[in-house]
Amino acid sequence: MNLIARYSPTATKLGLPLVAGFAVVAVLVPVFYGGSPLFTWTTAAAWVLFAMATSVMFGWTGLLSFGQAAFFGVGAYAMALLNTHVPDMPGLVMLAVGAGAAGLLAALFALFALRTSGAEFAILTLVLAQVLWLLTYRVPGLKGEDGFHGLFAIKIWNEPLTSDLELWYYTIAVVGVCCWLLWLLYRSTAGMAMRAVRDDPWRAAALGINVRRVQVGAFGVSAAFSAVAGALVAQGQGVVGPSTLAFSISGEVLVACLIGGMSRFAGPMLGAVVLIWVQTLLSNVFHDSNVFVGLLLLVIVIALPKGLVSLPDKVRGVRRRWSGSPPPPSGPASAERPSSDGPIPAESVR
Amino acid sequence: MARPTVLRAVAAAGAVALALAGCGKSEGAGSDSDTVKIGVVLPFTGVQATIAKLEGQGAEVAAKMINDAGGVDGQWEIELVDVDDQLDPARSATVIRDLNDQGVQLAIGGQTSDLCKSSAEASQRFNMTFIGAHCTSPDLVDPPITDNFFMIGQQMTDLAKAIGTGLAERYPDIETWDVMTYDVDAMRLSWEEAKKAMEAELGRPVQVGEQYQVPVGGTTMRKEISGLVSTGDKSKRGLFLGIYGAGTTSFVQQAKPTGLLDEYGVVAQTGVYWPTATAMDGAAPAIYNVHDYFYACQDTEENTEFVTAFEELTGEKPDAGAYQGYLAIKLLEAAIAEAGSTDSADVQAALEGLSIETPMGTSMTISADGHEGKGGVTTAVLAGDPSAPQGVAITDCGVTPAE
Repeated sequence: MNLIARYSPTATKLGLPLVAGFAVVAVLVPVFYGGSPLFTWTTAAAWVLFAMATSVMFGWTGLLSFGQAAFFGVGAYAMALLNTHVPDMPGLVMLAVGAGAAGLLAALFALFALRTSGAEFAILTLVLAQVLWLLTYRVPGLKGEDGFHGLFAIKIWNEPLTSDLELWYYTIAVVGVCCWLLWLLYRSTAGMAMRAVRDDPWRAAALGINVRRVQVGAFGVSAAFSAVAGALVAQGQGVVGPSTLAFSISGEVLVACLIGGMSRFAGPMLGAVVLIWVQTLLSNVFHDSNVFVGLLLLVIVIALPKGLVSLPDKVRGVRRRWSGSPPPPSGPASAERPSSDGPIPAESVR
Repeated sequence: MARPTVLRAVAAAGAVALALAGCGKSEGAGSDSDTVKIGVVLPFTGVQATIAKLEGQGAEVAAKMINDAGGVDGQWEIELVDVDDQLDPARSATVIRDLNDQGVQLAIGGQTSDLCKSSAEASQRFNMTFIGAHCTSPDLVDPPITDNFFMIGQQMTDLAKAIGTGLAERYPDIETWDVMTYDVDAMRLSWEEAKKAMEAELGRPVQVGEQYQVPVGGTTMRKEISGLVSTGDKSKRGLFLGIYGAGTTSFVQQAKPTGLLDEYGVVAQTGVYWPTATAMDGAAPAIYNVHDYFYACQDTEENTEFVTAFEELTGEKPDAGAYQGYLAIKLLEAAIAEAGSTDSADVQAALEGLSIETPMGTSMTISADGHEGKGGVTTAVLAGDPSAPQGVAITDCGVTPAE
């Protein structure tokens, strides 16, 4: 991406390499995978979007949420309810409605919750998710533990998805478009403002950035894309139940972000793919596989505190030590700051 | 310099994923001509693992008995393929695909309603026949959630009616009922149905005292127990429990030191109690329980064979979950024999309207349209007794045949 950026900065700015990357993955995965592994890739794709959406809040804006499952679940339940009451509505419209509902809910919630910060804010997000989870049992229309089924029958435009291959193409296309939109946001002035708020909200405010507005906006965007991810997962599974709002979902997506690393745009994507595949493969090997998943993730996070995206730097450092060559000149943006994504130019923040 | 390395990292991770996944498309293995593969989809790990183990063993016993007798219709040997859904609907959608990749076209399992739903939905993609052996929600059948889904766990309404009627007959002097259920529709419904049945039998309204709802998975019940303790004289009061699994164990262990369970005129429960009772080494409190089956309540030749075979395999007595697993395999055996084929579509057609004799001495009939299996329910008192098998005596049995 760096080479592309060097020779064609406009293409990078427009996110064309990202779109091309998704197109290649969309075509190649079904060539190598079928059956259950293809479905795992489909699930991983939806989680890529979920992790990216979470990164908007956690990685870009510095707001830690323990309740991201709330928006993931709102998307899933919105799709299930629309499928029940308006079965002829196209699935893509359902996705948009779910995203809008989650974004609105999040923005309203953030207006009040952002009077707090840090751990207090994180706990409030957790409370929101737990309240929504409880409502699935208390509101009769949400059907409690039984939940909803029949989401396979949702018509994407005119026809439902009749095979796992169609489900894959549909999911990766939606995820690709959403990630491309997030890339455009990331490169925009608004994205830079988010990162400025994360790095130093006081300085950002001094530069004229409306910190509260940026945070509320980031919360809303993150929620909207999380809802799309939740709806995609629900469509893949065919069912929606209270487990889509469980605390474990909020925890797992944060783990995905940490595994991949949030210093680069693609970090959460990588983390989500690794998390879903590690969970799936270890489940096939071990009984009580969650213990091994936890241990493995612990090792990754301890060995690579900046996530898997920092692995090349780590390897290069080891090679340099072995070869005895001197370290490169250090700079504040050399490893910590986004590079393809670009360090935050101070002039852009103003 | 940093960006190409990121690409390398992504490429390396992709390569690892490819390698780990086997680098190839899954090919359906297909059943051999003389073997029929049956998937067993249960939460073999996690909080329901104890119950799931018994359920899986019930299926294993049925398969062994059928194979020892020459196979299904003398033609096909049964091969069970166990997969662990980890009590997670997302995981069940994946393991159903794993089964399909292995050529499995017939499956049983489904610990809860949402797991039955997700397994049924996923298996429908491949026209795999799925028998929900342990779920009980009436919402899943009549009409069935998917054409390929059948449910043989007796519905909560039938279980609740049977326990309500049994309680009214055996404990007519109970004046007030305290109620504690999981905070889910199915278990709240269990009390409402039981109450209706009691009132119909007694010909008078039933008085409700303290009423609590606890979250599914909740294991701390101190507040509820304190409330129940404070209700005074309990000799004319009954306690109705609509909880199961780890919740039952938690409640019994926390309530036992208070003497609460001994003070009530009767304690009744809709939900699995057997694993909790056996785990208490002869000290389990007496609870009037309802389920599809209790091994000591059935006096039939088939039941004797089933119990003996189960004991040989596991060293334990079968519980209702084991019976359901056994029955699901027996139904598939009968359907395959009826169809003369192991093809999923043929088996589904044969299951509709199929009727078989059960170890309970009653028959189970699968409704042709609703896809629900009606096989009758059993009520009994389960009480700790160090001299009884596995430390639990089963007495005061009552079998209610299907309507």
